[in-house]
Amino acid sequence: MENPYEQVHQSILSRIVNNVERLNESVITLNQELQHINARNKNLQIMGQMCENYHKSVQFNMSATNNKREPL
Amino acid sequence: MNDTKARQYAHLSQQLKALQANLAQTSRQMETMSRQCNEHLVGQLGKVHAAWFIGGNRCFEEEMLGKR
Repeated sequence: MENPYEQVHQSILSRIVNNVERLNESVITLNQELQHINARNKNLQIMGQMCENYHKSVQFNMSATNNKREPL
Repeated sequence: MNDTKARQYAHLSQQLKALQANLAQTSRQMETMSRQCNEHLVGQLGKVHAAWFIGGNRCFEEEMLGKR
């Protein structure tokens, strides 16, 4: 005997497949954007480290040459 | 189960596998991001640059106007 819900089941399944495919595409796009953001943030992190190291060197040289003064 | 359905189920399982891999990658990216955001990068850079600006201002003021 033929299943009476066969047609409905089939169409729902095809809708599910379509939706999962679209979801997958969206998640791939999200991943790419996150990767871009993280690359930019990494550059910022490196810049921060460089600036901080420079700052520490300046502080050390100032105190070594006795040029360091009290803050305003 | 007819042929079309079997094909659709195979496709669905493949898609779900890809989705799982993508979500794992997303969670890794989010972890990296939260680690970076917890370092207060922009605040740190702002403070260091403010210190440099104020120090430079004092230094060049004395250079130009003579020691007071």
